[in-house]
Amino acid sequence: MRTRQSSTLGTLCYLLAGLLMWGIQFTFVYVVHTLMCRFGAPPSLVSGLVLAITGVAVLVVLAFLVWQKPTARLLGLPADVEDRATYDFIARLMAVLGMAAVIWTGLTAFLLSACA
Amino acid sequence: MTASDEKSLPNPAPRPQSEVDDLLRAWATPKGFRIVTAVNNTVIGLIYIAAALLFFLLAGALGVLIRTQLAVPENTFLNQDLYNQIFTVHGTTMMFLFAVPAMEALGVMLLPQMLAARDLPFPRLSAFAVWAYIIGGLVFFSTVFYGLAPRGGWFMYTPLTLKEFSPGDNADFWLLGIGFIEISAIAGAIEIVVGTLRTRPPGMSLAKMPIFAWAMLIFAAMIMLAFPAVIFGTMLLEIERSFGWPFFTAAKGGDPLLWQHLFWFFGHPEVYIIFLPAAGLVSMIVPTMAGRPLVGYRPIVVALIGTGFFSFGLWVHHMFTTGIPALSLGFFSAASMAVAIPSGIQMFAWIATIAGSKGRFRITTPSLFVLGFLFIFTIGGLTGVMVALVPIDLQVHDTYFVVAHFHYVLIGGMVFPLFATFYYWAPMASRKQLSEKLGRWVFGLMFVGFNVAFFPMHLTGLRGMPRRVWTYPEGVGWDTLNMISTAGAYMLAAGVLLFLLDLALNFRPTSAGGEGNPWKAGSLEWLPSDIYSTRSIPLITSREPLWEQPGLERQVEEGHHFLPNAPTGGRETIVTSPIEAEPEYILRMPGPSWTHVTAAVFTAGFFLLLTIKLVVPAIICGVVAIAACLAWTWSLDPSPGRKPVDIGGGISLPTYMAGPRSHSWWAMVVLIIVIASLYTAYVFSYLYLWVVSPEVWAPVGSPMLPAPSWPLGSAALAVAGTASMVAATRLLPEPGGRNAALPWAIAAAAICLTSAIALEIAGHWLTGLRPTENAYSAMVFMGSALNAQLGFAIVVLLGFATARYLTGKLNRERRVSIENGAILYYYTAAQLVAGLILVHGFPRVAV
Repeated sequence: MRTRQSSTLGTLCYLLAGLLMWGIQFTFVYVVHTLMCRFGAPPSLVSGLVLAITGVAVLVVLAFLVWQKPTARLLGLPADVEDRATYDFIARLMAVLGMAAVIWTGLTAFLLSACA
Repeated sequence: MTASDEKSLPNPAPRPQSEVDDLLRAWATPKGFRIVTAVNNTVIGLIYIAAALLFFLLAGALGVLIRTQLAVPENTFLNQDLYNQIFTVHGTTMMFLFAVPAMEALGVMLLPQMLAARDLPFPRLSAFAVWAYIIGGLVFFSTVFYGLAPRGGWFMYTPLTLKEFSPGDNADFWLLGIGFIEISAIAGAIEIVVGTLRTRPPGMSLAKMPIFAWAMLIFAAMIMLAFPAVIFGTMLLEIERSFGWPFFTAAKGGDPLLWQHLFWFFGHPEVYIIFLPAAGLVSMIVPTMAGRPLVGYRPIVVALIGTGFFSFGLWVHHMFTTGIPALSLGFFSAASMAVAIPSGIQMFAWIATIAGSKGRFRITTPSLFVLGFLFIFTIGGLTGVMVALVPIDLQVHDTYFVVAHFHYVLIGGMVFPLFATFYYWAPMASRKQLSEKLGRWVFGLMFVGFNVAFFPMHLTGLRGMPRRVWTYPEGVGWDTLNMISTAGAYMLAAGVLLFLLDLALNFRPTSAGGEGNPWKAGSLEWLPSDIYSTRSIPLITSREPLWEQPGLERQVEEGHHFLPNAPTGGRETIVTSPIEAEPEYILRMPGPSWTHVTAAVFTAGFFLLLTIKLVVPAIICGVVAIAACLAWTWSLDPSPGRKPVDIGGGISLPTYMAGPRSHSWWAMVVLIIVIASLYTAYVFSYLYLWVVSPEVWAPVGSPMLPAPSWPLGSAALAVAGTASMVAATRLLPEPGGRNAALPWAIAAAAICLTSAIALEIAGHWLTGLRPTENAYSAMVFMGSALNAQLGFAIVVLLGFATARYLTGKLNRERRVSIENGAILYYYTAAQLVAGLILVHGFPRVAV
């Protein structure tokens, strides 16, 4: 048996990275937009902020996809762990799904006035 | 398998028969009326499933009454008040007493078998959850017979359910009864999370886990995050009804929509909480009937997790008509459509698996129910995308179109897979298979009946018929469609009755292994088993072990795999690491007991007596329940003084574990996630009410905040208490030794925490703030109420740890009881400080 075990929390974060990013983006855009409209910020500023948050989220997910293996190492998933290819595939697909959701959610800022 | 392969098994030598006798003795089930004390998952699981089925029948009977009332216009079969009670109890029972418990019951029944574990890690917790649910559920349901049932619909919207508009105890039965049953659901979720991650057989890494286990893991995680929101909501509503704290009263700065947010933050994930395990069941049945592995195991895992995630971003789509800003509607509409992607991935994977069988897909009763599910759920999904579009939702909101949609999703997505499950897995739990002939009739009646009943409702909805109307006038175009729906409902009911007949004729329950593996399935629940589960715990090297590991059944039965005996003389199973499933230690499990049954009965008594305002008897019940829990827990931390035991394959494992590798630590962490989720709901509610009514917030609309010395004093006490708690864990004596400073350190920690909470309450009270004043004051005191609740639990836990020390059962090795208290303590101190920052800091910066 191997001497080094995978980190449970790290492995979960690795697998869920893309969807966690969607969750963070979704929470941020919802909270920021609600509060800014409440304080009477101009709708164009609110929409711009929503798009900025969305852009950052997309970049983070892209970075994850580009540097997937170093991220796995960083999160404590050993390279020789059994079924590593399966974990990599799941993490990649989850990231793609998360990115699609981030873009899809953020697109609404192009279509609707923020504080109407 | 060659002889040399056999020699490489964990225990290749022949095993003595006496080991089986030892296993039978250790796992023996109580007989007669003492069966209620049983904890074996095969016994408890069956009772759990039977109870869930009973509630399905009861709620279904109410559904038939509803359809009878609506069969013709201007009908007086039911009076209006009774009709309101009936549809409320129908929906509530179906969602809270049937759908979620049925899935948890299947988890309790099937998971240990699929994971070849001897049982779930906390058998008494499962049993407690079952009895609490049965007692609480029956009492709640019976209210419909006495005119005491709630009338506010299954989602109990405020302000209709406030005392002013819903006097009497009816709504309280919902709030306390259902809140209590949700606690039982959370107990089950803790069991499932820890069981799935820690009791898999050696070699079954996460990547080899059966899809049903993945689905149950996600299901349990969703319960942990979603249920606290509605538990918090029910707490707020009950407190407003009983004590007048105005969380939902607009005139005092509250907001009825806060209830909708809290309810639907639970309520929408609830749909997927019900659907995901059902999808997991389908993913187990389809490959067996197709005779080939599931196509797209990895995308299906992604789809299950993705659905679980997205489901938390959909709750506002139930509130599209409440005047929410357009961009918010856009976010939630987009997320509602996005969830169709992962659902679609699963659909295509099942279809590909069926197609990939090249005509070998067997058409059996379980297959028919699966095909029925694919058809019905797809229609429900399509109408789901329709109502995710805001303009369509504005049109059909609260009409029968929505009733049709959610019945297609819930009956299609959950009830049909459940009936497939009954027919598919019955041979595992019964000496006799259910009848294929009757089963096809059951399916036919249910499938046709369902579509005849619910498809016309799309049309009645589009023609403007609102949901929940007691009756309707003649000649508005709804008469014929309603009559057709009623005829369909009767046909559906006939199908269910035929199923009951099949059960009565053929189902012969047994815990000693069922009918073998009649479907030639590839997963572990079909291994030969007895009351102790499998004779030995297999080493797993593939996803379909019975297909890809030849001879596994015989090897397991002959004891050639791990732990073929009962080395400690009691009940035990192997705990493995969460990712790779490497063996870590032997978990010694508790057996039958009256303690958890007593705890369940008196916990139910506490909640139900409180509902009818019998406070003193309720408190007595609460005290007895706590005492029973402590008696139950007393035996759960056995002495670690045994040598490691050999489980085979050259592996020796300890029989005791404390710290982050122990199952107990895991359960406490999972519980803390639940508590943190509930507190997050509090923080959301606080900020939400401020957004709605900043004018009641301090310092303008309420008395000035206490001077900063008050919160600073409270925080200092929390920090001092934490330091005492850390010291207590370091003062533990060696086994057999004593350390007189330990009880003092524990007492200091308890005093500091309770003082910190009391100081926070006193600070506000002395400014003249009263919780009934407005929404702000109610939220301030609610924060302290949540902390006080945890403080009470910690005082009990620390008192328990002190008693363990005084009786020589707590030391540096045997330390689980104080570890649990300490983890909860650290969390509570952190929550208290976070609450101080919110309550004292936010109003100062937000003015």
